[in-house]
Amino acid sequence: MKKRKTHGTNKQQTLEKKKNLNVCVGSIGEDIIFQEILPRLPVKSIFRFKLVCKKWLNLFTHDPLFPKHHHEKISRPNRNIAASSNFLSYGSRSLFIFNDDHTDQFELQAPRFMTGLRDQVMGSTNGFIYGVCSDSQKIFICNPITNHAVFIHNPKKHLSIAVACDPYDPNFGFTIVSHFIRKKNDDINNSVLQFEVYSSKTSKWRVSRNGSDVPVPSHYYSFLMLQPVFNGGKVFWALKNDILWFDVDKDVGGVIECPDNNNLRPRWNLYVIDIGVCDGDVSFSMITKQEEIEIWLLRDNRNEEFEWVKKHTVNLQRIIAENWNIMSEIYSIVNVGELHEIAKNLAFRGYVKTLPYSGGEVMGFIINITYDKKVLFFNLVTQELKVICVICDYMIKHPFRLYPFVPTLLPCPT
Amino acid sequence: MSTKKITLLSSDREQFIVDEAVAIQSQTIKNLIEDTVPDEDGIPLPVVHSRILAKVTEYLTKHANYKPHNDAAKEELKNWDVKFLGKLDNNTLFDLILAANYLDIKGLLDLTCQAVADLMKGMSVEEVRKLFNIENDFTPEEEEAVRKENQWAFD
Repeated sequence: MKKRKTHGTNKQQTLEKKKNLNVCVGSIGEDIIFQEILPRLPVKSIFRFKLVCKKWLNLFTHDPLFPKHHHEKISRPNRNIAASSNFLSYGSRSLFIFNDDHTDQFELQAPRFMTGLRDQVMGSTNGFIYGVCSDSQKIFICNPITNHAVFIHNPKKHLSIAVACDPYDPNFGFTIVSHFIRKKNDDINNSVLQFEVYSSKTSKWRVSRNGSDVPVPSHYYSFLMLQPVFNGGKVFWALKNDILWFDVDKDVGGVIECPDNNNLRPRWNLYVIDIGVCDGDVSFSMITKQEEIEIWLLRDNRNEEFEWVKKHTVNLQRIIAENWNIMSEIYSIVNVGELHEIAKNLAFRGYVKTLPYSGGEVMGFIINITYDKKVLFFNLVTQELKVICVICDYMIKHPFRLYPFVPTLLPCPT
Repeated sequence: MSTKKITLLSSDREQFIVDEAVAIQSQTIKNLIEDTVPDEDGIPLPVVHSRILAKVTEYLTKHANYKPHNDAAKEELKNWDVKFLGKLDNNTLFDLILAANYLDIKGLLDLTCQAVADLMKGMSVEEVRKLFNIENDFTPEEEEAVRKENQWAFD
């Protein structure tokens, strides 16, 4: 097909290699470097490379377009490039950001308004974290990377909130959604679920008009700080047996039953199921009675009709049995019998916790049998188990809450 | 699929004969085919050396004949891309970026630029300056100030 010339001799190749060592890339224009290469760097590298030269410092610090380019490249990576799962956890003074390939881990000082407070990060979306300030009077939305935050008054002291915010929306603003029980005619048996919505466009809270006949799911308590996600114009919260949702544009909400409810492992608390976002679908991770981790996707046809599709099933016992070396090393267990004994009842004893599944090859979970928290990533394709980080106890206030987090340089929505 | 052949001519006037469907993944080539009368040797690409054009056509051929419909096929294509990148030295990688940019091949530009970013992300500041041949124009005091302000990124 191709006519080929004879290519360089060995001698020529060595010469070329030598040239590589002090490679000069002056040939690539600055526009390619600035628009195509640098926006693909993880934030930690960007902050480090402010030191390369003044032009780069200026680009990273003052160019208003750079955060947008960066957000586009990082959050919508080329489909051919493996998306890594990034997570954020927080402790009394620090935020800890890590991913499944060791490269972009770092510890940040927590924003000043967060220090010393407890359990207040509620969720994350598009690189922002949000939650309720400890006096419940205000809600914050914060970009922990740039240390930029906005505060919204919270007159009804909502505890369980979700933030919808899409940086790709030309009117890049945000909506906060919360929910509560309204008794009809003061009759407890005749209660419905109601949503209350705050829009950055109006700067006002209002009760949703259309949410008036949503039945109250079992195990619903308005004081529970449910894990929220935002996906495709809707916010979702995970309850014990149900998913609560609210469509921000259509101003309607509803309840979806969780998949495979009968097969759920009995648990101590609600936080053992997880929801996340995977390629435009809501993902749901659960642990079954057979100690298998099941990952489901919620297909949303945008017409208030949903369908659960099972994506992966992974047997915990088998992962542990096949990775005996890793397990015994990280947990300092030398006795096979002891390991088996522990492995047998992991989920029952509340020792294992899945992480929100964000797609790709890797599924994360925590096995919490010692004082340190070890985050394990299991590669669904290669079946390889990796221990990614050891988080000391003091680092995490709430060891079972890790937030999917793609660091961004964008300023908070207003 | 059309089996019409297109001849591409590298800067050192080497001919590359590929299917039209392969070639027109490059927006630039597509425009050239539509807008110009090719000379008899082929479509001249005066800024792309044969060494690089060989790589470009290798990439385009794989991607034209491989429209992944399921996860396994996507996986295979991804692995192919990884292998493709693995064979490149830095010089070739940078030349490929230039070619992908000139030829307007988005997939290849994404792939190669991401590869450079991946290469850079673990580097020290000094290594990056060397890679792009950039001179440090900070005074020691300025350098110290920037470093202090962003200390977490250096840990």
